Amino acid sequence: MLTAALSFQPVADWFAGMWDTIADGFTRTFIRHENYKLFIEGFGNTLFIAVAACLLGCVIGVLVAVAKVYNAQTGRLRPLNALLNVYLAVFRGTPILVQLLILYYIVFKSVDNALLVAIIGFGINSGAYVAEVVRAGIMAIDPGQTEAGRSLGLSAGVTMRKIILPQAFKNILPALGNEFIALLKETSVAGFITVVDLTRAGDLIRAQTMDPYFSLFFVAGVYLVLVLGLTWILGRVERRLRRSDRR
Amino acid sequence: MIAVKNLTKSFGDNQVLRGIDYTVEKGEKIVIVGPSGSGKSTFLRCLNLLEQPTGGEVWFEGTQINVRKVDIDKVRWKMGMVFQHFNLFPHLTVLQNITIAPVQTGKLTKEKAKEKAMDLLARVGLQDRADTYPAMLSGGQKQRIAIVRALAMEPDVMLFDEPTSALDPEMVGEVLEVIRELADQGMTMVIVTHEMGFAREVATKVLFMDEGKILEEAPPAEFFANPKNPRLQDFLSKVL
Amino acid sequence: MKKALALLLSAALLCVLLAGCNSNNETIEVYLNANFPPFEYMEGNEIKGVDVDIAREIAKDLGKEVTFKNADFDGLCTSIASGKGDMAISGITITADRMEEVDFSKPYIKSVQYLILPDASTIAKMEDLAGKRVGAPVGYTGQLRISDEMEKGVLKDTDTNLKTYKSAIEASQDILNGKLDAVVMDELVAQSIAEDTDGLKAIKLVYADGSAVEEEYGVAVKKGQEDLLEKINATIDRLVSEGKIDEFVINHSK
Repeated sequence: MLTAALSFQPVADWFAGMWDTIADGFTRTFIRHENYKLFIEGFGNTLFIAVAACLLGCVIGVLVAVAKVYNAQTGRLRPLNALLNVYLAVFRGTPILVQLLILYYIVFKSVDNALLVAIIGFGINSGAYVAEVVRAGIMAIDPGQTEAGRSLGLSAGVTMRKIILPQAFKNILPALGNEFIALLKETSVAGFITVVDLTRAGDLIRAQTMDPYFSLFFVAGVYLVLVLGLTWILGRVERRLRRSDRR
Repeated sequence: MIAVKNLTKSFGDNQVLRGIDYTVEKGEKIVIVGPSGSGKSTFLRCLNLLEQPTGGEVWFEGTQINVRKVDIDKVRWKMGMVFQHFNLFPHLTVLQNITIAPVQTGKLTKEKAKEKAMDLLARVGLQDRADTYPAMLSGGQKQRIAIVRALAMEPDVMLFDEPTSALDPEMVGEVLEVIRELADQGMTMVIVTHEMGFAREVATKVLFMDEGKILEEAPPAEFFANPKNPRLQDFLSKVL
Repeated sequence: MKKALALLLSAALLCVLLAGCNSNNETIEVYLNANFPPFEYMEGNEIKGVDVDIAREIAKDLGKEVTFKNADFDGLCTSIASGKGDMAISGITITADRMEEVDFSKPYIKSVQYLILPDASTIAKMEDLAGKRVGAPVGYTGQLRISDEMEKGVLKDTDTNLKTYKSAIEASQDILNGKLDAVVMDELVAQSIAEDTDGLKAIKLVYADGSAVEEEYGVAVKKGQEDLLEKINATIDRLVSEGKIDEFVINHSK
């Protein structure tokens, strides 16, 4: 009995040592220097940028998509359409980090609010992607829907808002959700323009603790939980919107 | 009530309407027949400018409407349209389908529009379907709702674009019945259809169109008994 | 066909992986962050600087070739500790925290923290930074020191705004853009940036009592490599006694 117990001693030691390492890493990463506050600040900024940029992106995206569809149908906005094509090409054709740096160091060089610049940058970038998603969604709606709306005497604007966009929105919700999830993860480069987001909070703590494991895994875990939560919410909203499809 | 003068319409190089002159008087029920590709649907869609004519004039209640300064939306309040494929709004309930136009245009309040919609639904026997979505209705029910939707704006004229062509045969009757009642109430109507029996019964005048022109117009008795144009004779021999 | 392709792909992948793991005995791999003139900086495609010259001398004494890997500064020690590369020479300050992770050679140079300021600035000492917007690259001594002072030192509860950057050059750009009042940076780097940039000056960072923020740079290697460390120390001794390190600094300070 005794010998058997003794032979487990090294294993127990190993676990004890492991536990000490983990506890030590945890303390250094979260407790010492009140680092958890830094994580909370970073988490808040990440969420704030993502949500605000998403709203901005949706507004820009819908406006751009509607203008492009209107032009495609009537040919009345050619100069604006050309301008919008440039916008789409530039913001979808260059990396978000480069756009962000240009915005921060050149375009808004005298704006001393990095958070605001980040929201604008991510919003404009996201708007370009949302615009294409929304445009495809509008084009996928049967033209008969527009004709029915217009034949009832509804204006082009009301027809778009009350008839086309609600249907398009339902169809593109999964794509929009993916766009928002991508946006959330892309905000991790906001640190490059001095914003203390979740990733940068991890950088700062790592630089101080010299322990990469806890801060990296923690940061990754928080993003993952956010994305999974978002996926879940989107799934529910989608199911709810599908109610009118029952057959 | 509606008049077109030298109406032409081209899609690219394809000339679909080749100069049409016609006048629809108040209370008339005009039925347009003709082979497919004859331009009859395009002609109908030019009347409320769902298709912008390439040339010519379209007049409605004394004003030319195919000019820029006319607010086409207001004109369309007075011209109801029913489509071959119903084009109900799938994201709205039956009731919302009917009330959206009067409410959004400010013609009626929400309550009044709802009241009116329920009246109209009762007339076509579908009041119990007010809160369902279009996906749950049969084709015949959908088309009856589509007619009610157009009537909710209290139009002076109704345009029907092959209203029964997409229906299963057993549902054609219920839709024609609704249109017939509407005709009996004195509604001015322009109907594009393949239902020759219906044309004979309801029309005040039948038009035959082919290759973008009106080739013959006559009251139904004469139209069917005594066709003059050889192409109409040929057409009737195939469809009757 | 598909199977053959999959096999080929896995084989190719394996080769790449193995090549990556292969620690060639004929070369040493040096990690650095080439954004820290005059110690390491890019000139065209080439990495140059004081640390680069030192690394070459170490390699020469070891009888090996040397290759450089340009990486983020805040990950350098972590990389070395996890067995990537043979050493990191990148103006790395020897600190107790870092010594938990890696072993350091003896110091090869002493450095002191400087402030990069707009020409007209009246900031003269650490205490003057209270309530100001201060910039520093992530993980650099300056950033860690200011964080420290804000947490429990002379800048505690002073509303000082510390902004973090990827490099001192970007931080200095924000002074010119009016978004920063000062950048904390190692002496030689601060001087080099101030000389190259109109409108910026560099002053020694001191406390009110006159003491400076001094530090020493060392070569970082993975823990437990006594032999290698001994040889590196020998090279450093030789370079110091020959006056080579001062020479390198002058060479790279233009």
